[in-house]
Amino acid sequence: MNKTEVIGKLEALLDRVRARAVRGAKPVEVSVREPVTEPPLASRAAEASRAAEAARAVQPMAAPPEPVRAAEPLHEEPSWPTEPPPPPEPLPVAEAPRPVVSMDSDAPEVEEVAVVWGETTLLESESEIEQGTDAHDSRERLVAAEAAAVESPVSEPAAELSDGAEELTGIHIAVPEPASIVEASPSAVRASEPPMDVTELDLESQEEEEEPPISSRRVVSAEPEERLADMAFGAEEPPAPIHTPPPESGRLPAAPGGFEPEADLVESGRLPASEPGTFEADPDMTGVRSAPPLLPLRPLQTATRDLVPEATQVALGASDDVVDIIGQAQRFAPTTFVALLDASLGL
Amino acid sequence: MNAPSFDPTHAVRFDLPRGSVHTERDGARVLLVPAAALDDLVLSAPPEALDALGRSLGAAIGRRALARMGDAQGAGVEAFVAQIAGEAAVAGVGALSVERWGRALVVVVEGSSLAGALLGAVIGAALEGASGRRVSCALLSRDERLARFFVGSDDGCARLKEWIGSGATWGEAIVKLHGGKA
Repeated sequence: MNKTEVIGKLEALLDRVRARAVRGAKPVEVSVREPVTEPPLASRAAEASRAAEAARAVQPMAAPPEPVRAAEPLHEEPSWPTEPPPPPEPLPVAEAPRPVVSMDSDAPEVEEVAVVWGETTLLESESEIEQGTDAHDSRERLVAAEAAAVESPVSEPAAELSDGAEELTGIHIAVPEPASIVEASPSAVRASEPPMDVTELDLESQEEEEEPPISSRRVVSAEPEERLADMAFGAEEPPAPIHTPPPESGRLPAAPGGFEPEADLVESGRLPASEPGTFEADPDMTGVRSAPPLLPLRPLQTATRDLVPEATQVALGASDDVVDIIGQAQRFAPTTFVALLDASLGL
Repeated sequence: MNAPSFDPTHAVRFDLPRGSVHTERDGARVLLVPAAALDDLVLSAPPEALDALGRSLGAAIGRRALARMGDAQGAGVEAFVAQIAGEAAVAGVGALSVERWGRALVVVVEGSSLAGALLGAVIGAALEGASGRRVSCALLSRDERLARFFVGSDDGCARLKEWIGSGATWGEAIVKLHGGKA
């Protein structure tokens, strides 16, 4: 929404207020001070600084005056928070002036109609910020100023403002301060923005770029699924090849270059010169030594011996006393059955 | 020397029209009696009756063997045993043989269907009929196949039975029976 649209909306709002005031018992005369269009930027900044000082005077507990970047004629609001919320310590807090659009009616019954915007309503572009007063010297301060929160939402006052003139008296439309924007989700921030989007600064991108301190309050949101998966299961490893050729059987190939004994050991005779790829253990290193033969090796004798059997024989002489018969030979030899029977009968 | 043989030709004659069986040598009428009937008789008859029956059967076998031998006193052991064993086989008593244990005469009967007490009486009577001597038999051993009998005097048989009854084996009893007479 550009400046002309804002002005158009304000004029339409003013017309409606006037029309309602004329129709009602209390004619309302609204005088709109439009800080956006009429004064130049420098004068607006000066006015904003004056308004900020006035606001500090109203708020006894406010922080020391900070550089003011933009200012609007500010009405003292009885409902203005006297004590801002404690800002985060690491961030420099820039107390921005509350731009106020006060609509004063000509009728004496109309007390005041004030529209309070955030400081962002004053910043139309970065070029203007750069061209502005010293209050716009730092973008960080601009962001830090947003961290100061005003808790009153803007939606309901805006609705009340558009509903009827009966409710116009004492209406205070406050734009939520950046602190509440930081606490809310981005969608809520967009919803809570005033309908008049007069700034084209990409403040959200700046907020994303700058990392808030650890102790600050941050939005609690779920991690992306990919990161949760990485935390739970670890990062995905590159998949192994499906077909891996099996190792070949047989002797393992020698390492490239092979084993070569050191030259000085070879020269000193401690290590024999070997061909590359062959390994000969050092007896001093391994403790395995080959014992020298006790006797010098002799060549095998080729001559054969003649094998002669050696017999052991016993000379035995003839003897008659070899047999020793115990008892007598059976003398009964019956020739007939009757003799046998008689012998048996004689028992 | 040729071994004497037993000629069983016409040893038994069956007169079927008359319904009689006769032996050839003595012409005596015989009766085919089942062995089971004799076994039942042995179980029920008193020992004296069994001894009398056995002696009658053995005496007939001895007479027929003596008839075959002619002169039993001069017959050799083999000739005597051959004739008497032949007649015992025709009568169905069993296969008879003789053993000599020193001076003791032992008769061995193989495959007999007769009971031990009855068989002993048959063997003793057969030897008495063939030899003409009064002999007595004592049972030494008996199994399903063989039966051994000592043939001797009544006194010898009584002592032998006593020793076997006291636990000695029949060989030990025979040796003991010989004493120093071997």
